[in-house]
Amino acid sequence: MEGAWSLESDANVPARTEPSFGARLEAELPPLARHAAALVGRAGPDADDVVQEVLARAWRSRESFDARRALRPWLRATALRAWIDLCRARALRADVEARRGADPQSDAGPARDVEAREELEHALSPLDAVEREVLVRFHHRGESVRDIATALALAEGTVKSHLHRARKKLTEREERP
Amino acid sequence: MTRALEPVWEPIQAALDARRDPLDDPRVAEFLAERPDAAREYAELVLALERVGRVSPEHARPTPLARPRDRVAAAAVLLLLLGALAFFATRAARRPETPIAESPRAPSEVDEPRASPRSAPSAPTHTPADSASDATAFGVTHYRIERVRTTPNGREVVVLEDGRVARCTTTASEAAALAVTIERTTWAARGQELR
Repeated sequence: MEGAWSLESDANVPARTEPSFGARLEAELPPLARHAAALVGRAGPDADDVVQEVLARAWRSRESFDARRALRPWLRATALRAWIDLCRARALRADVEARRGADPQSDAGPARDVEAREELEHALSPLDAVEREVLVRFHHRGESVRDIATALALAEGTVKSHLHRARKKLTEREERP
Repeated sequence: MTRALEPVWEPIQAALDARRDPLDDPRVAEFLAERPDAAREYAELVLALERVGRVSPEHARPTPLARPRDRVAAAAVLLLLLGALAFFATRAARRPETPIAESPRAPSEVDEPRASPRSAPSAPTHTPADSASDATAFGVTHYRIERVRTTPNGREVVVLEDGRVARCTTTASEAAALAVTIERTTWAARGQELR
């Protein structure tokens, strides 16, 4: 992979005492690969995809990147975004494929709806009624904290507390095997 | 919340509340850059929240909550119920406690259990009394039990002298206990005392 990223395009840049962006990027490849493997859970195609996406984004941003800035934190933050984007794209693709594959004449549509409902119920099951309502209103309906507070006759701080607790429980739920 | 995310949990929550990308916060970005385990958990949190946001509206229907108006209505109903309970309790307390007549007359007639198999073993256990008063006492009013019969479902009922029927939920052989049962069940069932 490192060979694929020999950055010849920097050859025309006047010689500097500082290493070129490409050289810095190449130097960061091994730690970036290790970080990506740790991020996705193991080395393999997913980690490789993340590394490639990070390198592509980095290369696209090379003109605007501040040379005085540390490259590694930026690469790692970009790796996290790339991993989230990858997961998001997979989830959306699966959703689209499920919709395309659902024959309107068959029972697949209702079955998928039931499955989605059950999945959501399962995910939201640790939440009490208020936490669930606040979470759905905020993250699904896009309502503001103020609007939710008005609708539920609660203080905005209380709404935030419910929202934070709901996210916490949701995260704990996601952690379970 | 995860322990790995705990040091940056507050700025993450604040950014999510403001609908900003938490990774735009340098504290969060730097922390997650050094902690792949925390970064993985952060990714799980973001994806879980997106899953909530992605589901179809009917799936994300929040659980109906009691609105303030509902709570007021519920409180009003509860007050009404408590008032009714207090009213009947007060009426019951005003009635004099009169000793139950000793050995009142037990039923003179007992129907045979009917077709229901459950009624078969529940033959009345009331023993015939030899008292000439021929009455069951309750309060200041005396009732004559005409007969006790067993319904097809095995429940015993007593037929009073004026033809009224009261449920009898006990198989006690003593007529005193039976009289109390008559009063209670009749009162509860019909909302009025036997007079």
